Amino acid sequence: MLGKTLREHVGGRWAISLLFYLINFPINLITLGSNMTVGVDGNLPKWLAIGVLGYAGFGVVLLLANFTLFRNRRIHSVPIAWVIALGVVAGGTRGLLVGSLADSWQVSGGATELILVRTATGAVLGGVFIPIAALIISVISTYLKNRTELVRHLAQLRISRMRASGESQALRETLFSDAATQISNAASARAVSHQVWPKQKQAPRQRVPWFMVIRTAVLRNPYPGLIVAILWSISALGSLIPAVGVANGIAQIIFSAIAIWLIYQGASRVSFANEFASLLWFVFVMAFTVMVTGPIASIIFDDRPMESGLALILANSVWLPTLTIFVSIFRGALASTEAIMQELKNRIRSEEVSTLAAEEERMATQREVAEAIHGMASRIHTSQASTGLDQVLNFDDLMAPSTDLGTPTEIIDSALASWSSLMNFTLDISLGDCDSQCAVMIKKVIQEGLANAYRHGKADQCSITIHVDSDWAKIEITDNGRGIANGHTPGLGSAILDSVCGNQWSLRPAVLGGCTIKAKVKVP
Amino acid sequence: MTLRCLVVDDDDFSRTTVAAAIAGEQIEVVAVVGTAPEAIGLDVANIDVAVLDLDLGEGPNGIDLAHGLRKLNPTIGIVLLTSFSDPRLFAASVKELPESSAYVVKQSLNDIRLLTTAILGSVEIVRDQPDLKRPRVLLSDSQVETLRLLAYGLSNAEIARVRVVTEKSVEQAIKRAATALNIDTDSNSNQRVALAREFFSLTGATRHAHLHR
Repeated sequence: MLGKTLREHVGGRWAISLLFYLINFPINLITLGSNMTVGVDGNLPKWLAIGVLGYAGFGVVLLLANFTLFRNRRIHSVPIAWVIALGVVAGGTRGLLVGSLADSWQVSGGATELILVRTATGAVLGGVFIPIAALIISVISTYLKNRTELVRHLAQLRISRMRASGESQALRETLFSDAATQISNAASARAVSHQVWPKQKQAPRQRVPWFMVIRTAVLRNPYPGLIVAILWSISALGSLIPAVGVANGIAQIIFSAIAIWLIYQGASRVSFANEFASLLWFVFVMAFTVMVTGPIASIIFDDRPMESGLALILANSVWLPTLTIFVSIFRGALASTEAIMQELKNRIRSEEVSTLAAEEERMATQREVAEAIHGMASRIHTSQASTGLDQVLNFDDLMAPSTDLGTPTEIIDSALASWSSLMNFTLDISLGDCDSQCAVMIKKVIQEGLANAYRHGKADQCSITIHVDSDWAKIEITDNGRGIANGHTPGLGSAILDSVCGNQWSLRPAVLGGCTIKAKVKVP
Repeated sequence: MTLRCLVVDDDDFSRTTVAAAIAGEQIEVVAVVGTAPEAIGLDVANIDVAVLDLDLGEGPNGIDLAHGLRKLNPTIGIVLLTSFSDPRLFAASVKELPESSAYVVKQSLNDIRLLTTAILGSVEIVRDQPDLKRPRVLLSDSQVETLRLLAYGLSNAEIARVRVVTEKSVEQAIKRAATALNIDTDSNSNQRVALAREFFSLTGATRHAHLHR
């Protein structure tokens, strides 16, 4: 039975924060102890005490973060670029602040006031401001990526609840029964259908309120302590670069990043029986990397390579674990939308999204009913006609019969060819055993549909599907136009479709805003 | 400056004669085609004005083509040269005509210079088209539509069904249209034929109407 890979160990929740914390401890002490004591006032106990205090403070911040603000443990994707940028900004700010204060106060690096400033800015930036900012940025970026989907998903959920609960059906039946009392002849059916057709403006697309999103994400944040640790560490760059110079500092960062990446490559392939063993191994490798990269950069960039060696190494190691953790998150994070979406879904009852989705569903139902009543008008009329019009009106009879129709494919192609110069098509055509006569009927439907899409919908893209089996030719045309205009009622163009398809056709708004015409022609 | 002009008409004779007639010092006919796809396939950006027939057979009509050309070249001049005295006779509405286009009726062209003037004028942006706002044939929209269906051979019952109105209102519309077109209303069957003939003469289809009076 294989143990978890190192990566899995390190990728675990507590391990990361713990790891960072443990590594930081000795380094912290040693930095302050040697660097400050030697370089400043020789007061070792004082510096050790400051080191321990600082370290304890950092521990408190981590614990607080993990147990209060960020209780949930699920992972979400942290946009690394943002995190790094934020850290660099914080680090730069801190470095600038400390540096300029040192100048204006005319004190040396070891002065107590400066230490306090450094500690304070480190704590505030690293412990409070940065994590929250990073969290918000990460939430916003995830949310923006998924908002459309989210709103649509929520709306769909509401609509399916309406349908499942019978609300839509009840509305439909009410509208029909009200209409029935008013319909006595074709003219009144037409009038009633115009009344039923929904006239309100299309409701604006609903957004989920921001505060809801942020609140949800804060409650669902994964790796909180992690974020705190990372960013605090990046902000320590503010200390590194002033200490060793820009070129050297950046070189150290780059070398370390490469080394860490290599470590991780190896880590995925190495398996350990328990966490402790993997932790030890990891610490060892890291320390080794630290030792190596610091001096190399110094050799290349520094003119006094080995003088500040120890200090370099130690400064280097502050952010090395940080970068390690980056790699871990970067490679191990999962998409977080699930968490946010779940939470927001739970609020569907109280949110406006649900109200507006319900409104949309009602309007859609009204439109369906209005179309059906309008269709009824034609049928009522036929049955009342005195001349016994029982066959479907066929416009073919009015046109001169053409002598040579061509093959079914030619017939359909000619219909498409004439419109293909004005619109782009996506075609899915299987004509099966369709003969020329059937093809002519299909052609009429297509011509009517395409003319409709171009003239009324102002579309420039249509997807056309034609499937012919032994009984029916099924045609579907979806365009990307402006959809059924407000208050538009099925008009005269529908007469042609009536004549070819009877009542086996419909015109509906398409999902993405245009229209879809579906028609079935009985194969003769 | 010579205008580069495109002529589109599905009737061979019409388009070759129009092209020959307008070619001159100020107008250079660069293409003469019969269908919308052929027109769109040209280098539309380098054409200054298009002279289009309304009726181009099956598929897109002259108006659709005009909109399509404007998408490719927003400043192209549009002259609709047609035998339909009123776009409603062609089942099109004034609202569908492209902005700043000229509408020239063939029957009214006693002098080819009228067409040339329209072509030259169409290239300048003309905001107001007072002609197009007033109906050219003094019938209401529903009368025109009823007449159109009648001329295509539908009975009153069939017209009523297509337009989803009562047969009575179809009869009313026909009566009023007949009065407006000065057709006498004494005999029923003659009236229908007369109306149909009048409709087609307004579309420019029948130029020999006088032979049958």
